Amino acid sequence: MSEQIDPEFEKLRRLLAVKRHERPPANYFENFLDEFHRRQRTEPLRKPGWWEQLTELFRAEPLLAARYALGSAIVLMLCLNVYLLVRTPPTGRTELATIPPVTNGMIAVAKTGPGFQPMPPPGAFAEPRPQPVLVASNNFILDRVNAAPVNYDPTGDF
Amino acid sequence: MLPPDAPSDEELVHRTQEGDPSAYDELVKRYMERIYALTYHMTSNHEVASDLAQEAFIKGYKYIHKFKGDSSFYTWIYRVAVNHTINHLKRNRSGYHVSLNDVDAGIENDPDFIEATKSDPPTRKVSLNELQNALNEAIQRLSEPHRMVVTLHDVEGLSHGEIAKIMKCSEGTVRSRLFYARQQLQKLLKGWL
Repeated sequence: MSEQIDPEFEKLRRLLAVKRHERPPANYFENFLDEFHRRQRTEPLRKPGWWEQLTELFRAEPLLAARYALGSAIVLMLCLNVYLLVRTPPTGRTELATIPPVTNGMIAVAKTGPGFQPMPPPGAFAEPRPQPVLVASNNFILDRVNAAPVNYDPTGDF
Repeated sequence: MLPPDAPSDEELVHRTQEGDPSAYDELVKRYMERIYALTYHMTSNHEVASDLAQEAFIKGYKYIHKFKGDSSFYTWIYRVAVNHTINHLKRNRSGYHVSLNDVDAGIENDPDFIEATKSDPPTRKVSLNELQNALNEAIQRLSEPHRMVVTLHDVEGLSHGEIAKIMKCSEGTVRSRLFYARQQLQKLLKGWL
């Protein structure tokens, strides 16, 4: 069973023979099976919890533990990213893009659903107010007097 | 050595999976000495080793339904014991006192031991207990994977391939760990080599 050993370690290997001759107390193996049965009977009484089983599994398989850790970290990062995307208020650039253009005092509101009718602007409900007459800057007040010009035509019999 | 009419490991495993606990008892009897040796050399403590060996067999029984026969039962139960022992050692890094077993009388006739001690100067008679303590102390100073490879290869005599299967690593890894572990042991046991 044993393979060729480096001559450098030959003496060490021979010395380790001492370990092969260490023996447990007499009758130890004769009672081994009885002890095994005794422990087997008590074993179901102390069933390990799921956490103990999981840590035991990870201890036995460190590579598996590393894979689980990496996977969990990736999932956590993804969840965090999604959460932040949902929760973050829109930035200035987005705001500009979403403001509807103003046309003739009416705000163009995009339809959001079937049967949606945009509200008229607040001014639509108010009484129309008389608009002030704009006066041309070069006109004079006499221009507005409704009076016929004086007739200087000679109409008398003189 | 098993008698020629003894059932194979595969048959015993199959019977255990079918619900015959006596078949598993037979498997325990076949491998208890090797599994105990593994746990003992890893811990240098008889009581702890005994607990670990028992627990490894209990785990083996509990999970026997998961054994699909991809490897031999021998490799599989070794793997259960190796993982269980390494986990235990990692959990108890603070360590515990050494409780060594006695060395049997057979060592006096072991050619390896005779060869290893014959060149000692006559003024320094090798004290077996002293050497045993030094060896165990040095082995305990290795990391768990290095200690495991030395135990399985240099003490229990398993091949690189078998160790690779048991420890689920490449043969190259086994060789490099073994080389490093031996280097460390040589440094630690300088006075004995």
